[in-house]
Amino acid sequence: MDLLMDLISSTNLLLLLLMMMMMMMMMKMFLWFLVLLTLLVPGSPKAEAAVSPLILRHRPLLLHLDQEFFLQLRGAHGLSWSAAGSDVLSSSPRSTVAQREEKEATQKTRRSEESPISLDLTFHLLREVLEMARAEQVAQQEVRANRRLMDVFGK
Amino acid sequence: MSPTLRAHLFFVLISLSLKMGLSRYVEDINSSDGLYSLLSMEKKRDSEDFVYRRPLRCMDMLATDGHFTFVASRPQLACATFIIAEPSEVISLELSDVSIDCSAGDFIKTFDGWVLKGEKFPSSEDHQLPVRQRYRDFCSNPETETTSRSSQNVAMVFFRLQTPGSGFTLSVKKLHNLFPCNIMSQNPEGDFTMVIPHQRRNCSFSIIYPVEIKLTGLSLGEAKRNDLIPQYRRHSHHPLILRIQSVSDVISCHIHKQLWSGCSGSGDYVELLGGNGVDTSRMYPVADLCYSLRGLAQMKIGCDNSVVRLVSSGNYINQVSFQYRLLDHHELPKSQENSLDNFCTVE
Repeated sequence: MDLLMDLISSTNLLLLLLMMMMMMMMMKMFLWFLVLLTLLVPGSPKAEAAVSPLILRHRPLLLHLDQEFFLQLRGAHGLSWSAAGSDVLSSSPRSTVAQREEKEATQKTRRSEESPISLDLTFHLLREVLEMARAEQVAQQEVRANRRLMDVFGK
Repeated sequence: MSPTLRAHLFFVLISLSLKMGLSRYVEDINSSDGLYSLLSMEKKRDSEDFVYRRPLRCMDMLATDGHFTFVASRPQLACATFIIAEPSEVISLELSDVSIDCSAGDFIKTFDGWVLKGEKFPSSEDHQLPVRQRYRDFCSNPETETTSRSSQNVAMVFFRLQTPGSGFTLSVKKLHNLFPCNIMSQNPEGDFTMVIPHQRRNCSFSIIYPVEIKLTGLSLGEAKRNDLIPQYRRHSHHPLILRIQSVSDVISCHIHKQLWSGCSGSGDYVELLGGNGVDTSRMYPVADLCYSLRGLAQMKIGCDNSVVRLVSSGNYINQVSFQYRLLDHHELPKSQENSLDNFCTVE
């Protein structure tokens, strides 16, 4: 008798578990139906109004679903579906990437704008090095002229 | 040996030697092609492949084409290379064999112009690019930021290498510039003609010496005749040079600019500037010319930097010709001991 009672209770438990699982599956299917409804009928304000509170309430679940949705439909329908799917739900991963790229670009711009070392060189020293450079230039011009002469007259 | 036989032998020997002499003469005739080769344009050796190379110093000035290699023997935290070309040339720079550690703080930056004591030449007013575009940082993009070209005849490279053994090679090449604008003179003496053809821009010719400047020719806008009514007659006591800052012998370079109106109302004019920096926007005007010039106008500017600046509205073809020479020591005013008077003078 006890055994029978145990069996009945365990069967009840199993049934209960099965029912819970079925309910969860039905809930999932219902949510999918809602998402599909909003996708297929985008211009319907009533549909969007009906969907939006539900979506907000189930945002974490929908985010998870979005990833699955994104992955599952991308191969079949290409980028259009995946783009549409991500528009409905939060696009925080994309904004993070964009923000990071913008930050890097700003850092690069700032780096290039930074003024480098400015020499506190007096005009006297500047003229000295300028005269050395001019002497070097004159010497190089003479070398080139001599080389041309050697090319013409030499063998 | 009988004398006859000996004579015959000598005759044969002489004949043989004569033939050899003739051979040499023939060789000489043949070698006259060597003389002809002087007129020939055919090169015996190609000298165009020759490229000047030398090590680059931490503080250096380059005025010639070539490859210049810098290798740090010890940490070099503040190095700069000035590059200058002829007035009618621009400078092309290329970095190669770069071995630096950007993540550790090393950098190599090129600048379109010169930077000296915080002042830039050309000034921001005279350069067509904003300041940030005039700097090129190798570390920001090592693949693309290896080449740069200057807008005028001066350029600069700043670099910092903290690791001994790191280095790079800088290749300098000069290219012809058809309408030079913003020129730094290499020499304290010379002459130049600056032309701005229908461009709305300002061009400066900078001489980092105390010089006497003689304007030998000036053609501004439609003012081709001297009988035009000047717009600023009330400020002028001289038909050619409309306004001179002062007629006294000694003028300090630290005079205030707010009293100077000059030719600022007209779109095309030439101004002579003097100062102790390279930034023309911070220099003091000593003379303005708003109308075309016939004859000479000269001025001695005893400043570290003397500039002829041509301002153009873009409506006309403006041209200014001038000569300049270094002031002698006796032409420079003697600085009084224990005095703070500035030695920058204008006569």
